[in-house]
Amino acid sequence: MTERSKPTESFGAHDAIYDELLSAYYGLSTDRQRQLTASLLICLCHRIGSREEISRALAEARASLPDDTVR
Amino acid sequence: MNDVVPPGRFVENLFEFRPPPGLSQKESRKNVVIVGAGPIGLAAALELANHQVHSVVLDSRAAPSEGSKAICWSKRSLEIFDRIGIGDRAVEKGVTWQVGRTYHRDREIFNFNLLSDTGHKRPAFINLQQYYVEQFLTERATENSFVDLRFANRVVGIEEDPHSVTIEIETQSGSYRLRTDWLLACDGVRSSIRSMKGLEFEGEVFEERFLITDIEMRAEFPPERRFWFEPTFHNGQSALLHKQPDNIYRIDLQLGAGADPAKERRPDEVKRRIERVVGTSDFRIEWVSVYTFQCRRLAGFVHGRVLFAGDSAHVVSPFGARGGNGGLQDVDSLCWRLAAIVHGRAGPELMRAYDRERVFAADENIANSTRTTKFMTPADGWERIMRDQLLRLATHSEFARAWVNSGRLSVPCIYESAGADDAGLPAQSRPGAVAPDAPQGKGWLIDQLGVQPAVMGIGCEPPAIPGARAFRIEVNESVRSRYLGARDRAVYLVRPDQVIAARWAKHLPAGIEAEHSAIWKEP
Ligand SMILES: Cc1cc2nc3c(=O)[nH]c(=O)nc-3n(C[C@H](O)[C@H](O)[C@H](O)COP(=O)(O)OP(=O)(O)OC[C@H]3O[C@@H](n4cnc5c(N)ncnc54)[C@H](O)[C@@H]3O)c2cc1C
Repeated sequence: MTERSKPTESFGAHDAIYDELLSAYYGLSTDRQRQLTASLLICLCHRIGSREEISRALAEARASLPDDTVR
Repeated sequence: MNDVVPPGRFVENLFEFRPPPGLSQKESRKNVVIVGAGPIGLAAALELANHQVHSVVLDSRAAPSEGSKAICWSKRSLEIFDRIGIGDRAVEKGVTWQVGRTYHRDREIFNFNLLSDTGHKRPAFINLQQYYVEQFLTERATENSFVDLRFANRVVGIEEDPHSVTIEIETQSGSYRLRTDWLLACDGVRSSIRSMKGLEFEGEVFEERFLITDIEMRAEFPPERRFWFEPTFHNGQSALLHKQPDNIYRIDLQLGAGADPAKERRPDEVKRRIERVVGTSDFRIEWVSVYTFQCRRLAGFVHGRVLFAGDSAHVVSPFGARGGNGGLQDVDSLCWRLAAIVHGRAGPELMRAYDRERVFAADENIANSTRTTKFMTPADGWERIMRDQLLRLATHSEFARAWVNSGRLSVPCIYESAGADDAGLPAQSRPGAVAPDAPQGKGWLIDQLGVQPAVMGIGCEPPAIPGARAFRIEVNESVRSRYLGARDRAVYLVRPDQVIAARWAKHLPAGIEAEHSAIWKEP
């Protein structure tokens, strides 16, 4: 959980975004999914703008990877 | 490839061997000996001469250097060329270009115009063959009484003690020795001084091969830089086209890591590839070679009395033109300091400042060049997916065009500086930055900044301090935006290499004398 997720934000918004992310990938081959991810990342980074924010997001995401030793 | 005529446009005896005095008698101890008469060694000799320092320059060559090396010289290099007396010649002979176009497949995805920022004496870039730059510098050096230039003199050994270096030199008429307080190793990417000292480069080496060729062709191609990602005329690899003087065009073609250099250099093979790029077979090949590139540097550039500058100290892939241009900036940072040490104004520890600044700069050049090389030659897998998607994105999303990396062209880095500063003044002229040029009457600010420290008064009288030239500059629109920003007056202290040391907009100029003496001190 980050300090930035606002408690006032309704769960509905997250759920809708999550849903949109899933829908965008339905029906795509694995290759096309990876391509979409690449483009989406670049677009998101552009919209976020701040290098610091992006590094933080990246660190958060990396921390969520399953442990290598377990795999 | 050797059926190519090396540039035969030179005064031959410029490079002639003349028996050095050391062959018949022991020579007096030198202040500075420079190994290598490439662009960096020659520029260093001439800049040292600007500071009244004598030097001996040794080069094993007895002829102009051959082949396709540097062509793009940056605005900062041209400003340095001005100081060492070849600026006008370089610009007159060179091809000034401003426009760069980047294509994906055969479609232009974006272009840039370097001239958007006007009000500078020198253009952002010219193209000029390195052999011309070397010829102009050689002629200057030959005329200059501070420079003792010796071609066909090969350095084969060095011996060091804490205060001097003794150099072993071989010539066609025998060997001799020179003893010097300082040895400047400007002997290029395969530096023999570096190997004599057992020093090694650290960094990345790329496997990808590139075919670099210069062709002579009568064509009305505009003076633009053109870069293609995956053009149909070259099988999904990248290609770069540049115009040079004398109807010469530079073409760089990515060949892939698996390419066979011997096969690729074969004239029929080269011709076939080039025909597809330029759309005609009416050209003559002047030079061809196959390169792999590296982005590496020495851990440090100062080793006792041996100093490294240029390619002997660091090397980058050529796509941002940061090699030669970066080396000339080494000269900028080095020579006034070395002169101060030779003249007894500063101690040898001042060389640490050179080391710090130029290692920092080399890292910036290496980072930029490495990123470009990676972008151009993505590894299979994620690197390639990202690169290809970015290119696709760039065709319809404007923002993504700036992300496309076909080379980040050389600009001087901004050094870290503890000099006095004022937050209301523009960022581009902060301490550590090269003083931006601006028009001044019929002339230019950059020409008023010589090789002595300067105190500039902008909208006010500059204070006089001993040892620095103080002058008031004309306030116009360029000066306002580059030097004043939100303020209406300011005082700038500028180092001998035209880098801003400190600046004041209020409390004018508290502590300027301390800042002035700090220029020659290494904390
Ligand atoms: C394909 C290509 C394209 C490039 N394009 C650009 C560009 O557009 N812009 C740019 O800025 N840079 C460019 N560069 C880089 C640029 O060419 C180099 O950075 C530049 O040549 C470095 O100059 P230097 O004086 O340090 O070394 P060099 O030019 O290599 O000179 C070293 C000299 O030392 C001499 N020497 C060596 N050993 C000894 C010895 N033992 N005794 C005596 N003499 C010795 C050699 O004979 C030589 O003359 C390019 C490079 C390549 C390969």
